[in-house]
Amino acid sequence: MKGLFRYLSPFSPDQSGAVSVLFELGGIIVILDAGGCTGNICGFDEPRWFSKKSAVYSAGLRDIDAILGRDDKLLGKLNDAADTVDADFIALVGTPVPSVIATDYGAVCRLAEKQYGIPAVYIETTGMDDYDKGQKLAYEQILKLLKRCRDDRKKGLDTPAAGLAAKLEAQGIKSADGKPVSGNENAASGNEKQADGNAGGGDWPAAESSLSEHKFIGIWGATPLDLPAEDSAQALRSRIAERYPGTIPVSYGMDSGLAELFSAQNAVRNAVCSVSGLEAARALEKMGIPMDTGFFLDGEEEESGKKVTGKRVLLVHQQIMACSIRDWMRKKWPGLQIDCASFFQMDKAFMEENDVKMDSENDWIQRIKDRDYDIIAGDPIFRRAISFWDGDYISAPQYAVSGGMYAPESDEDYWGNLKKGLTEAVEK
Amino acid sequence: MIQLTEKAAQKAGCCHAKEQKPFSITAKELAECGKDNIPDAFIPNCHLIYSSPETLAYNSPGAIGFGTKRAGLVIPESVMLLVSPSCCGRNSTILSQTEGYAERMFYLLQSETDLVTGRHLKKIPEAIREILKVCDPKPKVVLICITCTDALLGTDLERICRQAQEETGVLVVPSYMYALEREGVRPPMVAIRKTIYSLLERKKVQPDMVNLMGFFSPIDPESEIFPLLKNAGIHTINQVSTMKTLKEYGEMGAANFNLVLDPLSRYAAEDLRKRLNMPYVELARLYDPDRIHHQYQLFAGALGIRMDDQAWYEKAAERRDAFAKKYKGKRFVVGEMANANPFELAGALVRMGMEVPMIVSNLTEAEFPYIRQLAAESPDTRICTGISPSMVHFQAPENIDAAIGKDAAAYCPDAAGLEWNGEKQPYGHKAVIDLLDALDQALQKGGHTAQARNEKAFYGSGLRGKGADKRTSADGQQA
Repeated sequence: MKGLFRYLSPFSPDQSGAVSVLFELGGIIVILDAGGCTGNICGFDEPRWFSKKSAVYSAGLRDIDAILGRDDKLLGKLNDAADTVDADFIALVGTPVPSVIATDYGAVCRLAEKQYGIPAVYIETTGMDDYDKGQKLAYEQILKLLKRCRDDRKKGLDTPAAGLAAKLEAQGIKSADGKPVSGNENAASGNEKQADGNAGGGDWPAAESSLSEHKFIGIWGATPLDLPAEDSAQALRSRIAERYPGTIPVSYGMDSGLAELFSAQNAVRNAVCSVSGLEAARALEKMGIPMDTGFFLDGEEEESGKKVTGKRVLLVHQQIMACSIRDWMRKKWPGLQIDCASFFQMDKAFMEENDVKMDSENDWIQRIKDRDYDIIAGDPIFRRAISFWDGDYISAPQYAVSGGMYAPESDEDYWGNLKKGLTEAVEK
Repeated sequence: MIQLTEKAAQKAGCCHAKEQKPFSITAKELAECGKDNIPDAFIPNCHLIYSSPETLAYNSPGAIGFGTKRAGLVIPESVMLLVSPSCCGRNSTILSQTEGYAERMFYLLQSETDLVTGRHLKKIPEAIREILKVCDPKPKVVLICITCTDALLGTDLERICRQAQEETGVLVVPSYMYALEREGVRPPMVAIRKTIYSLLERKKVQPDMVNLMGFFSPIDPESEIFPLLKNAGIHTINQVSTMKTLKEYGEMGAANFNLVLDPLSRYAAEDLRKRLNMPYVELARLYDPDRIHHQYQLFAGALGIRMDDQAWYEKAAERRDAFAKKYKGKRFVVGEMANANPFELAGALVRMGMEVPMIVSNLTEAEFPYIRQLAAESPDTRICTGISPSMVHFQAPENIDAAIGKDAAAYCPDAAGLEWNGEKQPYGHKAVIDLLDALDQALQKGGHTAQARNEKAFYGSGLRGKGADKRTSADGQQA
């Protein structure tokens, strides 16, 4: 039955994805729930919550609030948070409750902005979609906010958004270790550049990039739900910096704040490490900022492996990471047949013939029955549903699936173990 | 990343704005407010609820042991089908695996179309049939758990369950994880206690049988309550958490009366009283040997039985006096994520000669008897609540020697921390002795004592063995 999990357990929902993007951006995050969703998001889907302080609140909705539609009460509740925390914006994150009662998020945001003088956005998540959808919505809304900030500032308006733009411009971009980073001055100065949340829109002049100058590379889609370990964002930045010497990579939303995102159009290049970041990177690509994907398994050239043919491999993960693993394996073992699959969004541009997006537990089970794989690499939780299969299952945990249960000590450990497991399985 | 505003620094009221402290109130002030005028900071619906690791258990009770879902599975030979948006089951993905009940949890995920059409409810019988196919042995009970969306839709789950039971032939029991009704008449953790006992039917009364109600995990078997009851002629003492089969569970229907050891079980006990004519008596969990002794005597007098707890009382009192002598004047912070009522425990510590500068806990009117006592004994004890938005600026009080409770230990990282929230439920004089021994150890060694981790071995299998342990794979083979 579609929607029934007999073996698997729920993945990170869209609201967790939204918070994963917003967490470090310096806003007040209000999850419009009764409390349980906030507990799940913070306690089980956001590892940074245990080590980095953030202004995350539950709206504490109760039945009477839903029955009477007491949005005015919600506005009143925002007062305490707005009074005690110096936040750059307020973000309302949707859950099933406001979804059922059709809360007018836009109206609440407009009123909040007027009342508290803080820009407000909403992420219309429902708790019923997967995390990557929430991430995309969050990127979209934050980028729209930043566009509004620029527009208002350019027009000389005295609005909270204009004020935020001035503040972010003054802050400038900093690398993860706090060093100021120069942007792409040629593209930024005197031009009407605006970060736009719409993939197809925008009127930006082409950015002129020069990798020999001290420029920054923006990394999209880097969240704990997509990356293997706590230090993976740092590891990604190191790998990208190695690939493009003289640049400073900035992972938006991880070890960086809103000022960096505000300057996204000044990046000389973009790197995308999960599907949720593709839309923004593609919008910037149309403006002349090139993009790459992956960077998970860059580094020293791998030795070619033993010559192996005929083995069939399935990689189950978020698509960009699965494709990175595939690329690595193909260099090492050209004769392998490797498919990628995911329960989460898959972009057609990166799909090959036998790649598949799975919509249900039954899809997963049927896939394994139909394709006769010798090796599968995926989250250990997926294995519960395919106990009939007797090939080599290599553990490749994903936080959005198993949370912190199988979290590795480090990014290096994760990749070391994965490579070792795959090598043993392929070459046995 | 987070900075205090100018405005916050000038905020009036109980918050010391200039010092940028979170909301707090003294015991004296709180007692003067009275139970009908509890400050807004303690009423979750009046403000945003701050989310911090210290308050995780408020939003997600399963984080410290038992939330609605795991609690429901206390019924032996049961499994649970959570019918909800996927977000509601997310914590169960992790908790069920770590707590050992993953194979007893199933999920029917709602879509937006389901909300509009209600078709998710029609799927339940078929979902149960599919679950029964993969479980080995087959469960005898399937709990259906619904959440906030169905609360808003007004779903008649009882009718759905009756219909599913008719169609599938297995007992189908409704349960509710209605976080929206958190401060209502029947909050989720009260409602689930009623659910747990809902399958009991009245059997021929056994005069020497009692059910202990209140906890989802067993009471410390070395607690004196067991020999005291047995010596008083009550030879069969049941706890639902120790029942291995549905048949054993059913025998609880023969109990002469119920002993309610946690007020959250009062509603369930009242239901059994009305439904099965099974009376109940309430005994509180206390940490003052004098009061424990007095409570036992009152209980014995009410029932016309003899309960001679003198030996245990003297031992607990001796331990208390020795602790008091050794640690007189030590400063404690008490939290609510512990196997204790924080206000009662704070009062017991104060009477021992300790200082309790702070309690971090939510409260309801039920706590006011303890608060009034505390106001008389330690009027300057400050009470704050972890869920207040102002807690974003919480700074640990200075010179704290020990913190009791998982939340308090996290709030006071420099103090000796004792979590005291293991699954083995302390009760009676034995609880006092064990607590003081653990505190003694913590104060001597420093650092945090994760009682929960140490005691997990006692009930390490969690609920394993109480239900379907194995699943068959999609093609019929054993998992």
